[in-house]
Amino acid sequence: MVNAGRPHAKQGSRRLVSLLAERHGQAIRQTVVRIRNGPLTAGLMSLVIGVAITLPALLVLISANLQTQLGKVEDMAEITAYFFANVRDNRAFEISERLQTQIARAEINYVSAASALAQLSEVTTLQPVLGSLESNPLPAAVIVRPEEPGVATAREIEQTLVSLPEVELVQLDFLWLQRLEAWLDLLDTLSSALSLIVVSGLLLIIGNTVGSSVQSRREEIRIIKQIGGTDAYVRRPFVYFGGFLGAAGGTLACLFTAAIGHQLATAVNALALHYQPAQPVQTVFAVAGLSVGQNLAIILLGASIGGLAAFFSVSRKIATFNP
Amino acid sequence: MIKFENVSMRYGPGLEALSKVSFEINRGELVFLTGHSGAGKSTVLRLVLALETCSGGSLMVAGKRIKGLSKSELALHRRQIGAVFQDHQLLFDRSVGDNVALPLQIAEFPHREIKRRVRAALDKVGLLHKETYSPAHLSGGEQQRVGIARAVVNRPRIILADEPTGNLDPELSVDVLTVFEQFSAVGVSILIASHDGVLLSQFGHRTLTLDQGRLSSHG
Repeated sequence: MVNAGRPHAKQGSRRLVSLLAERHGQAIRQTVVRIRNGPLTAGLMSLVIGVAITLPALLVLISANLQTQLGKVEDMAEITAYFFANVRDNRAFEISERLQTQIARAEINYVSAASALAQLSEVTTLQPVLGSLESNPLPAAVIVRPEEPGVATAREIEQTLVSLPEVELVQLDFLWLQRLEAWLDLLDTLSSALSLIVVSGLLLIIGNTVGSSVQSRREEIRIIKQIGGTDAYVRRPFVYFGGFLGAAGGTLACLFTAAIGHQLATAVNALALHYQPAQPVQTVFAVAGLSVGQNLAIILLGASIGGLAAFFSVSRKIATFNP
Repeated sequence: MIKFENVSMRYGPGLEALSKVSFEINRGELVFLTGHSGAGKSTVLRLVLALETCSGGSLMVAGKRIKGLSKSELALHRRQIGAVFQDHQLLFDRSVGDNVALPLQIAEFPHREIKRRVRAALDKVGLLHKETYSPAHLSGGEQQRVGIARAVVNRPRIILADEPTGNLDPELSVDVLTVFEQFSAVGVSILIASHDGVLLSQFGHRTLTLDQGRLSSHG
C-alpha cells in the first residue's frame, strides 16, 4: 500500500526507456495543450522567428548560387593573344598550330581577322559602323582555354604567348574573377555576422516570451513544487515549448526562403534574357534553392535555439519561486 | 514518522508563530491539531511539508532531518506527503481528473496506472462522475474533495490536512474522515488541523491543542 515517491523503486523491471518515454511524452502532451490554448501567441512568435531566420538563410542562398555560377565562369576562363596587324593570316595560323603542341591540356582556337569581323557584325547594331570602314581593323587572335582552371596554369600560358614576337597583346581575364571571389568572401562574412546577430536576438526574444509565460503560470508552478515536482519537471514543458517555437520559426523561414528564391529565379531569368542577343552561347540561369540538408539544419538550429533560450530563462525564473 | 523537538518559528522580531513545540506522531497514527485561528496550526503543517524552515529546534520527518535537504531531496520529501490545503490549490486550466493525476505524473507513473489510480481516488471521495469537469464548475465542498483525492492518490506515507472539512456538510465530513481513518489503518500517519470541535470529539483521536504558538495539550 505504502509506496510513495518514485514508482520505479517498486517496479524495478520497468525499463529506463519507458520511463523516459513517459516523462517526455507527458511534457509534450502539456506543450500541445499550451499551444492549443494560445495558438495566436505561438503563431505570432513563430512568425517573428521565421522572418528573423529568413534573412541569413537568404544570404546563404544567394552566396551558394553565386558560388555555383562562378564555378561555371571559371571553366570558361580563357587567355587571348592578339597578333600584330602586319602578321599575315597564314603565319598566324601556323603559330597557333605550333602552340597546339607546345601547350598541353588546353583548347586552342584560332580566330582570323576576317572571322573576328564576321562575329562582330553579327551584332546588328554595329553593322552600319562596320560597313563604313575601309579595311578590317581587327587583328587575328588565338584563344587558349586551359582544361584545368587556376591562376598558375593561366600565368604559365601567358608567359608562352608573351614570348612570341608576333604577338602584340596577351589578355588574361581572371583578374576580375579574383575580385569577384573577394566580393563573395565578403558576402559570406556578412552572412556569418548577420547569423550571429539573429541567433543572439532569437535567444533574447524566445527567452523573454518563455519567461513571461513562466510568470503567468506562477501559481501552477508553486502548486507543482508543493506536491513534489522538481525544477526539471517544471522546466520540461517550457523547454519543449521554446523548441517548438524555434522549429516552427525555422520551418517558416525555409518556406519564405524557398518562395523568395523562386521569385528570384524568375527575376534573374528575365534579366538574363536581356543579355541573350549579345551572347553567342545560350545561358540559362537556374537559381538553386536550399538543399534538404540545409533546410533540416535551419529547422534543427531553430529548435535548439528555442530550447536553449527556454532552458536558461525558466531556470533563472523558477529558482526565485518558493512553494 | 513526524517528530518536533523544541521547534520555534519566527517571522520577524516579536512575531513568533510557534515557540518550542515538541510532539511525535507514529506510523499509522491519526492526530488532530486544534486551536484558534492564528494559533499556528498552518505553520506546523507548512513546516512538515518543508514549505518553510523552522528558525529553532529540530524537525524529523520519516527519519530525515528537514533542515539541509537539497532541492531534489526536498521534492522527493514532498512526494511522500499528501497535503490537503485550506484553499484547495487546484489548477483551474485542467480537468478534475488531471488535477488528481498531478502527483502521479510528477512521480512518473505509467499512463495506464495513473488512469486507474485517479479513478479509484475519485471514487473514494464520491466524485468519479465529475472526472472530466473543470474544478471551476464544482462547489466549494466538491473542490475540497478533489483536493483530498489528489492528496491520497499517490498512497503517501503521511497525510496533512488543513481544515479538510471546512466546506463540507456534517454528513460528508464524517465520510471524509472515514476515508482518512482507512488510510491510517494501513499505516499512513495523518495530521489534521481542524477547529471543528464536534467532529473531533465524535472521532476521539489524539488531539494536540495549540495556543498562541505553544502546545497547551497533548491530548
